[in-house]
Amino acid sequence: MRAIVIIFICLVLAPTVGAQTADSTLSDIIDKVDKLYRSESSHGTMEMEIVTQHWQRTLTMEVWTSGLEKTLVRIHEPKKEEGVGTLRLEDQMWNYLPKTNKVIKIPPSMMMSSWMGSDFTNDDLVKEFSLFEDYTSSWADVKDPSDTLYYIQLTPRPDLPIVWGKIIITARQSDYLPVTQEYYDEKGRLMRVMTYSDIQMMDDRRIPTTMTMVPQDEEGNKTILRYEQIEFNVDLPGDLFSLRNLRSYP
Amino acid sequence: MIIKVALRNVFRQKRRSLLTILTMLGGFALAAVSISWGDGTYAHVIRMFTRNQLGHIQVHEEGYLDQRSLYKTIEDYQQIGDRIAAIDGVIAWAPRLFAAGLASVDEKASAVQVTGVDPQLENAATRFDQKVSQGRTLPQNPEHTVLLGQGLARRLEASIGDSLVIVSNAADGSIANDIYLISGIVESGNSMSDQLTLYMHLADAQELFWLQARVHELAVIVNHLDDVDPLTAQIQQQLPDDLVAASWKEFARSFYVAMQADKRGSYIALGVVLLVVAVGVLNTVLMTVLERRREYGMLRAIGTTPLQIVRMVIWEVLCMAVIGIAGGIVVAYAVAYYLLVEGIPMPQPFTWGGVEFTHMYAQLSPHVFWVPALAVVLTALVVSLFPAMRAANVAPAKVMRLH
Repeated sequence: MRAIVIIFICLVLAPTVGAQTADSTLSDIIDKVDKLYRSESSHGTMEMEIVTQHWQRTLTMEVWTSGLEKTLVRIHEPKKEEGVGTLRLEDQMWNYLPKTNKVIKIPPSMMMSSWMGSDFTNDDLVKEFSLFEDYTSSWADVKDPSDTLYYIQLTPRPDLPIVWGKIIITARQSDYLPVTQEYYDEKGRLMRVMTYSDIQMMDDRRIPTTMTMVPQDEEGNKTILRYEQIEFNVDLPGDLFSLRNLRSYP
Repeated sequence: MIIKVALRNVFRQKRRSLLTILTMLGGFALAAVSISWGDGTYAHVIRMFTRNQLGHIQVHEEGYLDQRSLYKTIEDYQQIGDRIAAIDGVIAWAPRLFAAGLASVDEKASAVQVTGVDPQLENAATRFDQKVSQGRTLPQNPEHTVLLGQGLARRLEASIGDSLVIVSNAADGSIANDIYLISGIVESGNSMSDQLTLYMHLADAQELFWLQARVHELAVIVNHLDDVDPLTAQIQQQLPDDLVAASWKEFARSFYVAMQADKRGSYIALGVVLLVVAVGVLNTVLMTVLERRREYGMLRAIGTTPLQIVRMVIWEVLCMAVIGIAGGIVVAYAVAYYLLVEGIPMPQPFTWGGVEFTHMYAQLSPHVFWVPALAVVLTALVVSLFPAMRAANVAPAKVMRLH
């Protein structure tokens, strides 16, 4: 009797499972990219190298995150900017300037402005939208596709304040790790390209540890973000993500 | 011979000649004073504009005037400045750094234009210290003090001794931010720029905006306004390829165009004055000629040629013109000199481009005299030609029967 039931279930469900493989690969990749650097909480140090045609500088910073909602960034180097911090709670964001002991709230109009002169915007730090939940995905048609890569197009849900028209993610077929993310504006123009590289073991996962953001409208600019070390799912003190803590440095 | 006769004729009819001479004298003096006055106000306005803030010649990186950017800077400005200062005719030069920022005093905040100046050089170039209406000027060495334009201080509700925070973007992409002590208030004479401008020591500004040893502008002051164009070319030769020298006519183009239009307007007024003189001269000469028709008839009868009569009449007019101009120079010089020294206070101070003017002064230069002199002589000549021909063409027999 039990065998009959199992056979029955197999017969009924098998075709559906087969049909879903392509789609499930798609969502698996999105899920993988989405959760790559994400965890309940994290604590790491990063180096950000910012190159423009006029200047170039390298920041060393410590980053704490809690879920999707809370981020704290503290710059340690260069000396001139030591102690400068950014706190993000939900969709609000503040910069702290220790030299003048000032906390500046970033107004909504400044969200697309550069963070600390880099090619990452304030918005990149704040609206960490979930690729999985906030975008609809489909396989992308690209010219000259590589045999070892997947190409996925993400379109933001129309009800969300996302500035991009679409994002095209390229991921490796072997382990679903992302290779590039291309950001297009609403008119379909390529605005910036982020490239992932230097895949390494960090804590419990293999991740690309270097991200290079190249804006397409400013020649000679790029920002390279390198993870030096990161721990996932760590215990963080409860008042870490507070304005009071943002202000208290060292 | 004819000149002698002409002179004798002039003095023979003293009252009539005096009338003509006075017309010419009055016209000349009026024209001379108005030119002198026009020049004076013109030069004064330009001086206020250039010496006060802009300078006569400015040096920037190419394209800075079209699109001001933090990154369009002048490197090795000290060296370039020294080379400019060595040029004959240059009095002073001053380096400046400009950047926008957000300034706040307690809860009040305002957008500001930060201007970094070298106190010593700026003082030599634009008498910076005189514009500090309250408090202390910037010290020789940077002490993290700032001066606020009067309008800006009012908007920020700031007073001397308050501390002020500036936040902006530095040239290396970092957030420029620092605290300064407000040490004084500036009244530059340009109320528009005083609404926005904040002055600090050049070295402080270079540190804040991370522009070490760089500036955006060199302002150059020259000895004579008329030398600006050749000196601009000379300075350009001293500059590296990426830098451009521009005269005030270029960097304050709208101001220059307005001044030119104004100058043209004053020449039209001058033309009207000269027309009045011309009509006056024509009137008296014509009168003289008509009254003396019998005399001319007599001269013709004793064998004087028409040409000689024409020359005689013209010489008479010229003699009167010379006397009139000589007298006019004395009168015009006296009046213009008074206006040069004392000036005329404006009943209501007027502002132009934000610069306030309370007094207007005349200016004396050679063309104040030779332009109207030439004009008077020429008009006298032209208008006397017609009566002179009338005089030469009289029919002796007819006119001698007049009495």
